[in-house]
Amino acid sequence: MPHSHTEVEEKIQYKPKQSKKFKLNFWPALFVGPHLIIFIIFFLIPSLYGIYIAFTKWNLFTNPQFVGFQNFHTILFDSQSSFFSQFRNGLKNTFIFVVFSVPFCVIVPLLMATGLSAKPKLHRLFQSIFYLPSLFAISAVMIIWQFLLSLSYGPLKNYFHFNTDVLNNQPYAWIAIILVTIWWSIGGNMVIYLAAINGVSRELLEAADLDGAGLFTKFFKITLPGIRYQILFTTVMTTIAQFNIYGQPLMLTGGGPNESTKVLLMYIQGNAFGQGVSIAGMSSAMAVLLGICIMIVSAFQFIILRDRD
Amino acid sequence: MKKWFSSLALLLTLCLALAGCGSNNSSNGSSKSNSGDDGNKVITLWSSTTGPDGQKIQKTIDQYNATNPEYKVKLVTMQGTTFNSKLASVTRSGQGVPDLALIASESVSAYQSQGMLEPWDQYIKGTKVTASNYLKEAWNVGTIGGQQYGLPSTMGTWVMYYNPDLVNKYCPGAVTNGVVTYSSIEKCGATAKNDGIYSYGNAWGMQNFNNLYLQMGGHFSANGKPTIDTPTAVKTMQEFKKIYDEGYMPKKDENADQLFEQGKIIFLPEGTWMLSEFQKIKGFKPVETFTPQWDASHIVQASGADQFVMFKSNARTDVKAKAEVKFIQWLQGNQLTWVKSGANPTALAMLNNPDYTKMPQSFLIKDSSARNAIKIITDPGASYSFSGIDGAFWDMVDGKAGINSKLKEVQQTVNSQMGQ
Repeated sequence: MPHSHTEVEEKIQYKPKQSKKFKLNFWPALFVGPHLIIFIIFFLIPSLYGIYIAFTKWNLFTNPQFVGFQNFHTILFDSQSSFFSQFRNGLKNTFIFVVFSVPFCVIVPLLMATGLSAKPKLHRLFQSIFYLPSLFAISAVMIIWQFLLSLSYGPLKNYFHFNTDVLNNQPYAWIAIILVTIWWSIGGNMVIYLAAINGVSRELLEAADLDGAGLFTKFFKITLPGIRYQILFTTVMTTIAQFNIYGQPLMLTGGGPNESTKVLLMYIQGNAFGQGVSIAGMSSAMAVLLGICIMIVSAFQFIILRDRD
Repeated sequence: MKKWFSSLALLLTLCLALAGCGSNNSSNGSSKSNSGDDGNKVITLWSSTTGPDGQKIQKTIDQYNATNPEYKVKLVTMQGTTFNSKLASVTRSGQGVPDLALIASESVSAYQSQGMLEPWDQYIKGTKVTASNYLKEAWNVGTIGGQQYGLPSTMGTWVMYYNPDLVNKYCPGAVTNGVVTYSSIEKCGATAKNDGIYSYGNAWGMQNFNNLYLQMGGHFSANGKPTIDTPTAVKTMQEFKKIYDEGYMPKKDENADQLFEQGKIIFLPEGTWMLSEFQKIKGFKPVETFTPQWDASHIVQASGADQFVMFKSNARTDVKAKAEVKFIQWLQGNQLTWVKSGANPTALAMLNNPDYTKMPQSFLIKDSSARNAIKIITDPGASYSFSGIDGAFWDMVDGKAGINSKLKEVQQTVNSQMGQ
């Protein structure tokens, strides 16, 4: 069908507009530029170098020696090598921590935010108290909890006559690490949920009230769907953060008892920067595998939690 | 105009970012000039000794600099992990390599095997920095393949402190000529236990293991390969487990140092570096002696001896290397402030200093039989074995892991690490 005169005119007029669109706008570049440079220098280049190191034998001092997939083969298939057992144990313990801590690190702040959003008396004070631990450095938090959970100095034995060394016996060691992590990380997610809940439509909630909906119905049918994107975001971010667990077991249990709380990052750090000559290539290979695990789990979470509409 | 301004702003941002990188380079440059530029006449000494001990080293260096040497010494201290990573980066790049570095005894062979160290031989020729002027065992640490790669500085040693009042109360005669055996510790434990007093404090499992393992005749390597899963190692761990199971040793959660200070532990193996801390104790006067012995007639005392080394650097001139030797030679008789940290000198010249010979730790150097008892572990892969035992000690002692299976696991780890 032949084009009408007006259509042709429109197309002719449209072309210069299209080429204008691709012109570089310097203002966004000005704002993004510094971050991009820092990102490239301090994250992208080291990350790429780290991936390259995973394919080498490297003691940090001499030049890396390329060995192909040898490190990955050792870690994944060589049962005679301790790196094989280290990876299995480290990854298993990391998964245990993620599986048990992430739901609590999402649900507990959500419940707190829900409670605080009803604006009870002193809600601002409680909001500050709940957020406060997130501001402390991990070393400070762990030292405090180490004293609190210690048999010699803490209240467990002295006031509650609980004679088990919780940091040296399972399942208490895991319970302690998870509880401390929840206490420490509650603030960040809670603030996100508070802001999200405040954005939920008041009209909808009032309409539900008029229809006779109860507290739970309103929460599950209106509030929760209203903040689903924030929940997805916090779930993915919390999962990534918990996969990178290191400070809590290092300082609370030292990976014990019998390496049952020794997580993968502790092995990675120990091999690369522990006693003796560094085994940086193997550590990097473990780190790459951990990164792949995090990517797979995060992608899986996106698929499960994404908006099906 | 707007476009022009945007371009200028972007260019400015990029320049600022690059200037940041540039200033970093220039600081590297200055560190290079400190370490390598002869014109500066400064010897840069890197050390991982921080805290009060680091301050004592600094004071000693200040005393040396006050003698107006041609090359003054500049001490740069940093935490252990930073020390290692900075050494790795500067030696790889060849920029900013320190003139002199103070490293742990077990690290000398590791760095030497990587071809990273410069031998001292041509620079110490004709000076007083000779084997005969040092403790033999400490000097030998730096000798590899007939060449001298390390020169000893001080010796930090895992010794033992005991509470003489508690010894008199529960087991008089347990200490004979400064020697306490494990059998005496068990006997003391049996009598003191009912009063809630522990006979033995385990402050650092790996150090206690090393000493008893050597005393029982154990070796950390055989034919150049690390050995940690041996019948002697099993026997060593069984002894610690026995003391723990009998209730003579505090639990992992209990702080042995504090219990000792509170008068609740009779014998506490600890480092010479704890001397000044224990001298503050008010309730009793602790005595420093050898670590507990397996056989009183054959004393073995494990130790470490930090070494001065030169990492390879094109910037270091022969003149500067000789100036470094001059500093090390001066230290031989002038380490009094340094050894107030509790360490012992390795240079025998300090034996002429009455202020040193009055110090509690000097028992290790004054007597020739004590000097002969000193053993410094330099076996290949020993660092990996130390690390393995460190992580597994309490699990084996309190029964969380079987001794045989755990030692096998440690051996497997050490073998894998050595294979890299």
